[in-house]
Amino acid sequence: MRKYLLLCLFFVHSLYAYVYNDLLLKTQATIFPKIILLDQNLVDKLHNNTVTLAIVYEKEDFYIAQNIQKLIEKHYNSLLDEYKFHVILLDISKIKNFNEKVTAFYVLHLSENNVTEVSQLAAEKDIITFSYDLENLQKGLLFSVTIEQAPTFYLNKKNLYPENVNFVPPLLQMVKFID
Amino acid sequence: MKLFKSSLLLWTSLSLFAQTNDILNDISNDVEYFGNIATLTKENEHYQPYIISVFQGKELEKLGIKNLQEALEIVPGVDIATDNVNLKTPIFRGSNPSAYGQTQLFIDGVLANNLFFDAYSEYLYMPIDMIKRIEVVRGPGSKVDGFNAYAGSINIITYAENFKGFKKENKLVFKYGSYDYRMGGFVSHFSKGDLKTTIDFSYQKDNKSLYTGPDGLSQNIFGEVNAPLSKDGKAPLWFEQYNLGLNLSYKNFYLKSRLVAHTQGSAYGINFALPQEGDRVKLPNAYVEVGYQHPFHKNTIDIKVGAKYDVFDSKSQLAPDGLVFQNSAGELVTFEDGVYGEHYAKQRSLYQSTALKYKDFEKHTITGGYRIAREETLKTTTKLSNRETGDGALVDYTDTLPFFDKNAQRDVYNLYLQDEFIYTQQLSFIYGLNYETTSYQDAGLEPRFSMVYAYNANNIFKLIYSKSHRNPSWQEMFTMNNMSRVGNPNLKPEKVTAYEFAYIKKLSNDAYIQSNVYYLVNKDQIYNSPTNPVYRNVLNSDLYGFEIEYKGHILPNDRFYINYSFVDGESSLKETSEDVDLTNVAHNMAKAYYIYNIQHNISLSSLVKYVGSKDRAINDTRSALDGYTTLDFSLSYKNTHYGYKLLLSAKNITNVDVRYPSKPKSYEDDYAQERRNFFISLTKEF
Repeated sequence: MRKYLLLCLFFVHSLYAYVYNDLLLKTQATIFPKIILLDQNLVDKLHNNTVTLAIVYEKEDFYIAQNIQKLIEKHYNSLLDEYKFHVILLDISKIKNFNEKVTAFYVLHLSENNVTEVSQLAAEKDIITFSYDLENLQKGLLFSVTIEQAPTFYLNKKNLYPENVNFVPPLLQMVKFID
Repeated sequence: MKLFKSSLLLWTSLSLFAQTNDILNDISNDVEYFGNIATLTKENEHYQPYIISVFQGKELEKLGIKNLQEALEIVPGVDIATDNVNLKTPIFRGSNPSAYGQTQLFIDGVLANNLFFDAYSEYLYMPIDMIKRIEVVRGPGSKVDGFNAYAGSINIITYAENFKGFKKENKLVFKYGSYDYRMGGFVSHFSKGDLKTTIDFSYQKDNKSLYTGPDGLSQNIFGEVNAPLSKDGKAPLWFEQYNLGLNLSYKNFYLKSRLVAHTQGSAYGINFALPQEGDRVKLPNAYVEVGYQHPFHKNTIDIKVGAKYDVFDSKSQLAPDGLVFQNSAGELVTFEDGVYGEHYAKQRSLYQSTALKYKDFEKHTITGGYRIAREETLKTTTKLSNRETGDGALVDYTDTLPFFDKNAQRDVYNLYLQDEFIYTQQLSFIYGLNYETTSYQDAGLEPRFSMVYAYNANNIFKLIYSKSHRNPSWQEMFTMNNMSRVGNPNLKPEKVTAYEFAYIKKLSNDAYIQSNVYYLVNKDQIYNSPTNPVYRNVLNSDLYGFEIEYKGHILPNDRFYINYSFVDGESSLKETSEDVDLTNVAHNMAKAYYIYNIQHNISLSSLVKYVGSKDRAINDTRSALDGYTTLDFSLSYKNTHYGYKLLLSAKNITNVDVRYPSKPKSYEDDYAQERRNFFISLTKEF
């Protein structure tokens, strides 16, 4: 009986879906694409003059990722300033074989190992990383927004890899730094 | 050529600079927009200058919460009390559990307390499916703009609240449950150009009756001679309610309105004698508020005018067959067929307010304004069995022995001024003054000061000092010719001075620990008792305690919430100079819920509530009322393809005997609440 219960728990746990804050998601989905435009090296991160934002998720959060994709597409209508704008979904389990050129990752709630994997790939390929969870900036991701009294920007300076992600100075005056 | 290149470089730089500036401005606008939403929706609750807990309707639905009352039972420091007519009221931090108007209920910003009791018992039945969010503020510090929250305030936000870019949700809900409970309702949005409309409607009823007794006759409430007539049996606790809300907005104008047609069984009898099954009390309540918001620069003028109507309408057997009573000539009369009564009182409140929010001074938001109100009784009727002959047929006593003062009227004038001063990003202050005068006793000048200090993103401190008051309710002032309640028009407002300190530890985006300690000095609290039914300002009480709550996760796929509250203090009756411990108050309470999301569309939840024992009132010789722990389970399934939700809920699953305290010398065995019960709910979203 105990084994059966443990098996059930394992099975159930493997199907979980994280609980996201709706307002925070909307705030991030609206602001993150605009932050991409403030990278002075953006041109190097384009493919066919297209900004590509990949939403990185664990499979249980597929519906959430899909909703964010729709939200961003509706808000930006495939155009980010003067560039074409493409939002794609990236299941974390497929990240090892992921070869598309993307401009930025929007990382949803991931397990610690997966966060490390994403941040390593981003560092290798000069990809800007945005995180849903503020705590993940200490695990290698670059930028996040939280809701305090008002939306507040956080950036981990260590993860700027300054030769490749080079935000305009006024943005750096708006953010709070995390070491 | 060199000049051309330099010019081109300069032009490109300027163009890039302009483009960057545009993007930064755009981002700043987003920050302001979402910041405003965060303030309005209390997403930034931890930075608000008061002690607040926020509960989302959808999360409460998953827990099997059926209505507003059940939702409030989860809030730290909040307990529920009831009375002989089953008028339920939330008790905040143990503050005067025998009074109704200690807290105020706002629905979409409109004060909903009825004038007759200053209560909102009829709104406690409001289905949770019609509620988007509940914001509960403990302590008097929540409102300064013309309102006076005494022990706390409850802000109900319906689905009429909507922001650009957020989904407008239409839904249809059906429920069925124990006691033949049935509910049907909908929420619907319409938009055409600048006109936006939201309608919510619900109909619900049940046939609940619970065994009770012996009734108050056993305690000689009608004298020793009538004690043998005491009965026990099923108290009619059924209810039927229609609730219609209509909210409109057009450009800068808005209209907020609600009509509640509420009827309930006479419960334990308005004179503590067990009534008949069909005896009833009607408590209809309706309000309409029209407003205009005029923005200029960063500032806003908000002008409102509103009307609210409420009725107390009782038809009931007041005493059993064979009651012996003394008539005006001093003769003993026997009411062979019992005593019957019809009591009707209709009230109206009219108000107008204007508020200016001025933001042109750097770091300051100054709010000032006034609110004027006229509160009055429009009509009363009193019909009783013939007091002289004992004949059961009703006689109209409206002019000779009215149960209520038909000329009851009160004017209230309120002025207020407040400054919100953001000294730094970390440190902000709110300070202000309220001044109120009425056509009866005045509350006078009441200050308020609060400070919020965010040491960093994860550690926030709040310090609050505030004074507030509660004006006497209509029944406390104007009830007449009644054995259990005698009004007193000379009552002063109850007054409270509050000292509160809070600390919030944010653990992540959606996990936190919030704790607070408080000390409340209550003066001139209004009190009556069966031995002296006249309402008097005779109770002083000092309350102190703390509340701690945690919201977060155990696993990534769950939601866990737990709170614990403790209150203690002393009360003293001025008349006897007698100090007593807090009465009818649970010193310890703990509530917790756990929602486990099995999949993104299936969740299992459990809800546990512990309410500690309660000491008895002054001169009540009964032993303390036992505490209780209840446990609920719910299973929720959402079909994302067809857009429907199914919920099964089992409540008080261990069948615990939950009782609310009765007044001394009335129902000796207190008021029993429902045992194990079930309901099922089907919601279609579109």
